[in-house]
Amino acid sequence: MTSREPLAALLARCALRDRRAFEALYQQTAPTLYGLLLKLTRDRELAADLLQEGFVRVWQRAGDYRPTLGQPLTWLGSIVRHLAIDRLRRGDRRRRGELDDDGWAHLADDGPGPEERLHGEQGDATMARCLETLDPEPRRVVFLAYYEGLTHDAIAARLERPLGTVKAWVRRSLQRLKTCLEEDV
Amino acid sequence: MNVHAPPLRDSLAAEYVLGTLRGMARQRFERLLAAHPALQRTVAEWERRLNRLAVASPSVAPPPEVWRGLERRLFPAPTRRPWWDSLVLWRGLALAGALAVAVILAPQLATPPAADASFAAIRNQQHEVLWTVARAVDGRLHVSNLRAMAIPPDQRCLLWLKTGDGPPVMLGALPDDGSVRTLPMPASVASPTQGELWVTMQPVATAPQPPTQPLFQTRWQVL
Repeated sequence: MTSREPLAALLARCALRDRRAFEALYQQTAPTLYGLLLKLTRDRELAADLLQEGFVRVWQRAGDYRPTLGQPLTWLGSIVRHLAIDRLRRGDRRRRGELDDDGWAHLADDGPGPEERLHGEQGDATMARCLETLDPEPRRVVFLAYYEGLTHDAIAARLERPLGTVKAWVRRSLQRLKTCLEEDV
Repeated sequence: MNVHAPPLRDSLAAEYVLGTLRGMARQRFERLLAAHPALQRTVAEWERRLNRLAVASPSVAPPPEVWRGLERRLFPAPTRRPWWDSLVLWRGLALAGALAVAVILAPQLATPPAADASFAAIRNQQHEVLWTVARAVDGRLHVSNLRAMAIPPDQRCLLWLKTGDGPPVMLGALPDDGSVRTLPMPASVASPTQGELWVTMQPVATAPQPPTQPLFQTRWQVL
């Protein structure tokens, strides 16, 4: 039982209620998922709550994972991000912005951005290439929506662009990504 | 909104997954989602596409309370009991063992049970019994899966007999749908009730490989 067992094998063992596999899965994936949740919520406590809730679902639904649903981390990301967006869209945003300490500054500004990470060893070169087919502003719009959970209005305010323009960028960027990712398979 | 129009369905699903569909539109979409499998498939496709971005999230160590909370919620402290003190196990005996016991006892009602009639319970780390294995005097194994398990369709669980230093011998595939199966004991096995029973999980697509370590293991109990 090594610490770098493939995630799909760990998920399969979680389906057998193998607690050690679940722990290994948590150790390997929780930091990425927590990073995702922190950026989305900007709230350490809420992000930790959502991470725990997400892993409860992972334990309960490990047997539902299929390779056709994407890489294991994609599937895990779907579970926690869905919980987070749900919580944010239910209007539970009053605490948003609380994470204004060094931690948030580090998350927001330092270190490599999503593009660099996608190009990295653990990244996704195809996704990186498809994102590069977008113009810089529409690409930024996708990142603001995906990683920071911003709405059309919030993105328009952040970029000082008309709402209609932002909506069109989102719509077109998503379709271009779809076409590009499908060409790859 | 006509969610059956494919382009609209697709763009609504995309913005739902991205999170930019909000307010009343989001609530309406969720109500439709619950009732329309085609829409659910479209959403799943967008999750598969967009959540490829998740790998590019910054890595931040979560607070240790998260794991501690998961352990508390999912794995309450196990109450250890002797192996025979389990309703589930006896239910398993009733299922798989009934056949075996009948085979053992019927021809020799007045005589003591044969010494090589053996039984084993295969448990997970929480000590829940997953399978029972009963060996009849004719040498065949009656294997019972005590509860249906959500094993991915491309995987299967295999039963092995491990004796001595050699590689384990495969006994067969274990049922995972809550059913009972009878497995013949390979003729090459000299002492079938010696050693350990091992369980492994392996891809269905590839030929079984003798494992170097088991996922679960257990010893025979003599009945």
